[in-house]
Amino acid sequence: MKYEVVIGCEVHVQLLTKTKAFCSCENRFGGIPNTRVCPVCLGLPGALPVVNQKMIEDAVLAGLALNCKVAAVTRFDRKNYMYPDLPKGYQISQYDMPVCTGGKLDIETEGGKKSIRIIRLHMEEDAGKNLHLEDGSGLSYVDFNRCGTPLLEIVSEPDMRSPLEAVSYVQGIREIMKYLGISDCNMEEGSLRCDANINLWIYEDDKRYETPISEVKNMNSFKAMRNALKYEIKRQLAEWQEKHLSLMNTGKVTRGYNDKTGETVVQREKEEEADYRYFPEPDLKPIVITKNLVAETGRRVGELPAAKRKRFVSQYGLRKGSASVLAASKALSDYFEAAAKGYGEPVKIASWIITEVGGYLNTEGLTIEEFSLPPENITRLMEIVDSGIISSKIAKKVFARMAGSGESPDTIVKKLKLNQITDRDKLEEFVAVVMKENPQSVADFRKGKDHAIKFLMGRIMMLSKGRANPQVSAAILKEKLNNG
Amino acid sequence: MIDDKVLNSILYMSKLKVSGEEKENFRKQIEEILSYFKVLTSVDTENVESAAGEGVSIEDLRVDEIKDSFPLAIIKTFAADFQDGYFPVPRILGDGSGGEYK
Amino acid sequence: MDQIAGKSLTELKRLLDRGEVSALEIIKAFKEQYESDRKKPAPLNGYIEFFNDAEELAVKADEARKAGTSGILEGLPIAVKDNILISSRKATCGSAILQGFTSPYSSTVVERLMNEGIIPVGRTNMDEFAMGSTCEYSVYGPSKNPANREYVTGGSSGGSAAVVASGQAPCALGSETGGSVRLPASFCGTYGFKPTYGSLSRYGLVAFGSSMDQIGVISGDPDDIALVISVASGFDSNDLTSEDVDFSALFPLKRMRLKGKKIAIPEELSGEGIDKEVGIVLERFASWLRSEGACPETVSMPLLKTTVAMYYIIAPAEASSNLARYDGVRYGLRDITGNNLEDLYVRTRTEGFGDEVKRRIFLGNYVLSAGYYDAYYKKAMQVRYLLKKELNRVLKEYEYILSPTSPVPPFKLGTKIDNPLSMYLTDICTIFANLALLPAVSIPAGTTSKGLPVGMQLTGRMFDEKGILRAAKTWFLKESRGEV
Repeated sequence: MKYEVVIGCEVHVQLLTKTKAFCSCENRFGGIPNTRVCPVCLGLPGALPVVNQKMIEDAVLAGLALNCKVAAVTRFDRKNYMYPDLPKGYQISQYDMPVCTGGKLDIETEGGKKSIRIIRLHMEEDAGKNLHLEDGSGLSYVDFNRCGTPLLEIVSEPDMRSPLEAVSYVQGIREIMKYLGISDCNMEEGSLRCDANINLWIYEDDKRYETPISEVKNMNSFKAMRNALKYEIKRQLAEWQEKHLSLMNTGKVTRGYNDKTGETVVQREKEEEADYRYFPEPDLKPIVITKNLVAETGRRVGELPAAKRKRFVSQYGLRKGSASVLAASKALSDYFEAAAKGYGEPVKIASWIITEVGGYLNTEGLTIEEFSLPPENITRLMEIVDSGIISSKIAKKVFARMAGSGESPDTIVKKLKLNQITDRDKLEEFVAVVMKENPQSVADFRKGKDHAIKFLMGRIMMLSKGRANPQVSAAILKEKLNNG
Repeated sequence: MIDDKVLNSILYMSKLKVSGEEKENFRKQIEEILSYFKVLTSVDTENVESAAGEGVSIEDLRVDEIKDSFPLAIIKTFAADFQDGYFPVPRILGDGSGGEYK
Repeated sequence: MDQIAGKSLTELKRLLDRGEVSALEIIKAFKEQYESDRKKPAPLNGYIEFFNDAEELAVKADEARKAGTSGILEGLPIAVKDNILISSRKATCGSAILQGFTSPYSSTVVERLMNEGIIPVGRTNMDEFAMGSTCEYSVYGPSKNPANREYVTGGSSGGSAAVVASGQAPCALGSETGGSVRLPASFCGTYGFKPTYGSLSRYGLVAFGSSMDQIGVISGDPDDIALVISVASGFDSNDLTSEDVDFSALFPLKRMRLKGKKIAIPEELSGEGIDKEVGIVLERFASWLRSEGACPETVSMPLLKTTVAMYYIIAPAEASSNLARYDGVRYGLRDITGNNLEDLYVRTRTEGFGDEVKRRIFLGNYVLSAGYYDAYYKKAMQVRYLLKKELNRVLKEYEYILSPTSPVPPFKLGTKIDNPLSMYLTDICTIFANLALLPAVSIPAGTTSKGLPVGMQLTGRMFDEKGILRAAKTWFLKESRGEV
């Protein structure tokens, strides 16, 4: 049987603003239940929402990065439904005047590059969390800490033709949001959530039949997403063969994915579909977004990870793996490029940044944005290694001190006397060469002219470019002269 | 004008119950009010916007700075029921993204 | 010392400032007035609660005055409608559903007044959630008209008007969505003022119809209103619909030279449909205006015929959403006799809301639901836009709009309670100001043959609170001189 898979995605991304969407409570994951709540996010009588500036800015930034058109005027609406985790009995969302519309995201597929069209991007507030304890009380428990967290909802056209494409699309969204630093997109923690609408176009008797659309929820990882969608394809095919149900007569069903069984189960039939009674949020005025802001924000978007990755490979000769790591974050890629500037071997710099800088940040629990070491210091350190002054092993020590203290690599090398050669074998080599090249002075010394040792020491220093440790060298020299 | 299906569906959305004997009176009152609303049909609103009023610019919105939240002790002063730091409700399933009232 | 109870806020302020009376004496006098009325066979039922600690607060105010740390309203009493939040005080909106709720925060208006030393002395009765025009839909039973206790006070701020008219408070805060301050002021023979939408913050005013809700002031003297507005108005960062207005110089009000001022009398609110006795008072008021040199003229504004329909679509729509938060989950009434979530919702709300609130929630959900939205809600919003345009056009040519505050004089308790539509029609004169956001004042302009008060209403241009209040003051001065 000939068929085509049709998938569209609704992606929810939690923003990393300091405060919630409509109140000044801290926006952070987890914590003691109900400790980040106030009259607004608890839906007390008389409380009013106050829009977070940063949420609008982030939405515009995200929209531009997804090639969307930004609205000149955007408005919030109320989506009405009652549930315990929704304290006001409505969610402040956007309906007919979303902040962004009409974008696209390019993904890589087996058949090459493909554009997924984005219908809209809008802002809304997250709900609280219902906790289900098996405590025999017959109760669920509500925590409103998450309530009011700003979300972006990104809705795609049904342009994806396989679970793999759907996963690539969501990964692409994730990459961009993380790159822009507006979300950490952690699927396990729920800061990125994806619902997929999937059905099949079945070609039979020269006709196209569309199977009922399933909206699949509860996909908490990319693996779960792949499996859930694969399962849906199988299930819909089987259902078609058995019942010949089509979209026309059945409509849309909401199904939840169960990670344990690997199956999707019906959550809601079409006739139960809620009527959300959207209307403009009267507590908030429409928001005007100036051309200026759009232009300014557009400049902030700059080159996105996918393009950057490609450029890093072609311009610097990086491997795909390294390029991906560096291009995933704007700050990290900027750091790399600044360090690589004017240095002949970017591949070395890249691997240094990935391993050493990355390792350091990891141990210290810092982000690259919080890392204060100027990238030029990395460049300089590499140069010192290249000139043979210190080994790359020593360079790691220098880096550790440099990252903590902020001193320049030259200062550290000098302070720790890392540039002196103390290695006995190496110094013996110098002594041997100098003695061989200056037989007269050797002879003079042996005749009792002590001052000849000064001349020979001078030669050793010249030969070692001043890096030979004088005490150790002198001792070796004396030893060799006396043993002659 | 308002049949049982509509009446029940709006009551369901409203999370209200109107019991047997009140129902007819309730329906009558609502129908009377709704039919009064017909006076609006005489107004021509072709191509009229339903303006939401003047807009506000981004600079006038709230700056993203954290302020203190409620201490748990305050919540206890107004909460109808507050157990171990949570608001308890009859056991529910699902994430609540609307309509799961089985 | 003359009798204290019965004096205005402004007079009491003068006495306090001169040290001729103490705050304690003032509070005691009003409390005494309240308590003696309670002993009468048919108490007015204006207060739901007179605060026990009001006298303690008065003692503190007297101390502050002695210490020279007093605010400009130090020790002055004010009554507060039961839907305007005061920190650590109960607030029930006249509803069973908010029984047990103590507010953890104060409304901005109350907070600003209290910062200047005002003492809220009690909570006043109201129609449940401010939905009603008679103050009969209260869980505490109706308030009664001080002019004749068999008559309604008007609503919804009936308690506020009753306590002011009976000398139980010099001044009271009420709230308006469709005339809820002006109508009871008119029925009880006091001044009642609704500011331009946005002049006062709505933060901490329990929401009914958010796009029209506004706190208002009731008093026997327009200067009291000016004093309160001058302290309480202006932008509030907790309410994005509040405006950056400066009314700090509003008090004291000067007499107005009315000569040459053009005043529009809407044909739709002055002829047919207006009670004969109300018409007589209107004619007398208009002749006074003429005698002052003003030019009242009849003007046709056809859309005024549609305001009741518009209002009773828009306000319930917003209310249905605003009242969704009363679900028994977090605060207030909670009926857990059922065994699931739906039971908690339906039982709590069915038990907690009165009939009129239920009707409006139903109406609101109806006009917003799929299939009816365009015909009702959207249509009403479009006509509202046209109404604003029409009124602003009239107010370009005319300085004020004059009409009766109510088409009928006060009526007997129980006469309209079972006929919602006829109750709604009582609002025909007041609603347009709320729909168009305009400031309006009700002026006690005369009485019927039975001695029942009749109010006249002046509506002004956006933010011209000063104009209409000065005009009211001019009438007040004439009345107190006893001129004809």
